[in-house]
Amino acid sequence: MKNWNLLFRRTHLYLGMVMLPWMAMYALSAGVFNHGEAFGLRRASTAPWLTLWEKDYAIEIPASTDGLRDTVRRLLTDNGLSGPFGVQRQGERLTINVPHFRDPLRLSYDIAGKKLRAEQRNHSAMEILIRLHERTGYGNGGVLNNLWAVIVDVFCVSTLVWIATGLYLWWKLSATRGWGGLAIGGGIATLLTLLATL
Amino acid sequence: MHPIPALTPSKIIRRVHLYLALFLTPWMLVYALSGLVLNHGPAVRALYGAAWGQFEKVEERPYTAAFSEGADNRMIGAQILEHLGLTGTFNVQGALHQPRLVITRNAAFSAHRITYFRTENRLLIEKQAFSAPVFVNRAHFRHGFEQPFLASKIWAVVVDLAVVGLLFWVLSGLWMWWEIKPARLTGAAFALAGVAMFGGLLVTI
Repeated sequence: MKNWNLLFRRTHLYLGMVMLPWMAMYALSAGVFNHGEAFGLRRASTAPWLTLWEKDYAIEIPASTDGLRDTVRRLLTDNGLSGPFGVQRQGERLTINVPHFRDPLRLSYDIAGKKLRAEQRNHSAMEILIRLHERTGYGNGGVLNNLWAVIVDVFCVSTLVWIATGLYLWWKLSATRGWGGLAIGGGIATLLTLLATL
Repeated sequence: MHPIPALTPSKIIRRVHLYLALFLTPWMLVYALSGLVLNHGPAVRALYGAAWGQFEKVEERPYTAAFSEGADNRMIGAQILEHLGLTGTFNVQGALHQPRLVITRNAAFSAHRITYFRTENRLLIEKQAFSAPVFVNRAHFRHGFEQPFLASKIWAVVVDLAVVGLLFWVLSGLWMWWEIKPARLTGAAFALAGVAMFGGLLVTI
């Protein structure tokens, strides 16, 4: 029994230690979301886009959206870029957004003029936090992007493990059962009341 | 008679860590499950098929209402919801003088979408069927103090409490780790691995 207790304690602790940066990041970014007005979350960024480079570059862009992503992937590879991206076509212009936690890149391709421009702009810590919080999912391209998705899974499973081991450890502390029961009962009652009245 | 144990700073930190966690357990459960749903979006959507998040028509009815000149979209949306008996947190899409206004009423277990066709004096009422993933995601995305409803504001206060809770667990977790001498080395290794991974990913992707 003592061994189980120790195993649960250590699991609770070490999972917490390895997930410390993610816990802090999710907490701070959740605070930003919850006080969006105060942090100016609804306002579009006014920071100007700064041109990194501009060059002549020719690639055949399909007329329809069929094959457009494949073409853009080739365009990125030709220019030493990789990873996830989003693409939008407006007439004779392609706008390609290459996400990055700190320095996302915007590429503009002038289809008729065959010119490619890369731009970046300064981002606040708040924007970086939001990007970290919102990045989820597999299949974004690249091993490291998938590693991030694995860590998101690990964080979610860790939270479930913290709950399970935390409940076990609480129950083992007989002196805290009364107040602890009140705390968890209060939490459940608060959640159910809110869900019923929202 | 048992002696009353002394209330040391360490004990206070441990108790706050514990009771805060117990109170926030239901929210953490929701956030963890929703995180898994979001991280495996395509797989969950495939599991639910075409029914995922779909709105189904409930009814269509005439709606003749005169709104004052200065009435904004939120005011109109609030009045329509009140007439339908659906008062509560909502969002409105559509510019002030557009012929169509879309009101999304986000309750906890269901969502209603009401389309108000101004020029036709007509309402289309649709409801989203309940599904567990949509439910946890809606709870996950609920935040902010903007909605003028008490339940919504209390929810936002609990979100703030969860923020404080997470930060407190980080700090108190470090405190408790340092107090457990046999765990210092392994704990430090785990913490360093976490910081290195986080830092590495932050600068590379």
